[in-house]
Amino acid sequence: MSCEDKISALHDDLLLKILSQVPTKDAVTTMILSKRWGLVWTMVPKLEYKDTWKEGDKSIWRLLEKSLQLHKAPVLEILNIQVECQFCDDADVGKSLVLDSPGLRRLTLIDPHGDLDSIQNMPHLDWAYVLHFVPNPKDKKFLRSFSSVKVLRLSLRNVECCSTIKFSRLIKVTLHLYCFDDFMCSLEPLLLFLHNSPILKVLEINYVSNFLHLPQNKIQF
Amino acid sequence: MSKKIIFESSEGESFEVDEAVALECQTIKNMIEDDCTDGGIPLANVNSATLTKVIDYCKKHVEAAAAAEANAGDKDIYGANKDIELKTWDEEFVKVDQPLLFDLMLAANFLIIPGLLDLTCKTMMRGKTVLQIREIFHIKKDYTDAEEAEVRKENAWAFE
Repeated sequence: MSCEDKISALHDDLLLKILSQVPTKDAVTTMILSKRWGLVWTMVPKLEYKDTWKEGDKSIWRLLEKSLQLHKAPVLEILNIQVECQFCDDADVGKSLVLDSPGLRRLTLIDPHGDLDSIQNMPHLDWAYVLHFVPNPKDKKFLRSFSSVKVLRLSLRNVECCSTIKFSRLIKVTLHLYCFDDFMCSLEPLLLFLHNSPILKVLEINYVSNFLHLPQNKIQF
Repeated sequence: MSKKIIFESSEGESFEVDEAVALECQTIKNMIEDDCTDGGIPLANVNSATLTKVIDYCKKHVEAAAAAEANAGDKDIYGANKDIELKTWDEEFVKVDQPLLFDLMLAANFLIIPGLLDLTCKTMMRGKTVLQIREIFHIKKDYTDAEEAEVRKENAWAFE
């Protein structure tokens, strides 16, 4: 069997395709392989951060912050952040994530504790999936980060926190409403939300009450 | 009877496939559209073992797409089952030794078969540690010990 290092001889395009398929926490460690690999990970167009219960309770904030600093963020197209436990250490709570990623098209942000303050500089974001159901006084600022999207999936406690935001490009929205207090959320904020989404074609609402899924309502315009 | 396309591997072996199967490769599709496939398509950088696998992959995916289309009318849980079946098939398909997997990736890249390229890239490094990667791919460390210590120190966050 040949002992030739064929993989390091590959064109960057292929190496980036390979690294795009690897969780970011593993992709960053390839910098230690050799000088050839030192900076390859910084050009990967897709970053994926996952912190599941299985992997212990270490905060991924440090990995996220440091790797985004070094990453050549302008090439970033897809960003997935999925946190099941606490996102930040206490000292980091309320920090804002500043992305300078004009090419970012898709963003997934599963952050049930709502530790993240705001996300900035994503003018071309088309598609966002955001789970953020612990109400926070800064929700409006946070959710305004997604005002440029065409497709949006939102898991929220109520519609009020986003009803005054102008979603001028929004075509399809799926709302998962976690109503812990009332059985139904009030209609008014929803109407205001619709008013602020002038070209919306599809609205899907899932009421999740006491974690029991009720029948889904789908409205097509 | 459907039109046949003939591929020729790097060893000079001929492989006859249905046009529909060959169309899975974007590169070949362009050639067919430009009408320059008569007399066979020589693939000087794809060997017979790799080409056999590539053709298997394209055949399976053409069949799966045809089956999905036939069942498009009654979309139900069976549709989902079909997807799972194809995924399982894909997973089994890439359980090959490292050199063949590498050749498959290069072939998918050259012939432009996006599904196969994603599949092989995904299998290449996922779930492996840096040490395993270094061993499997024979990547030589060209950092001096001092340089390596420096990289590790400066990027301690990456190796925590």
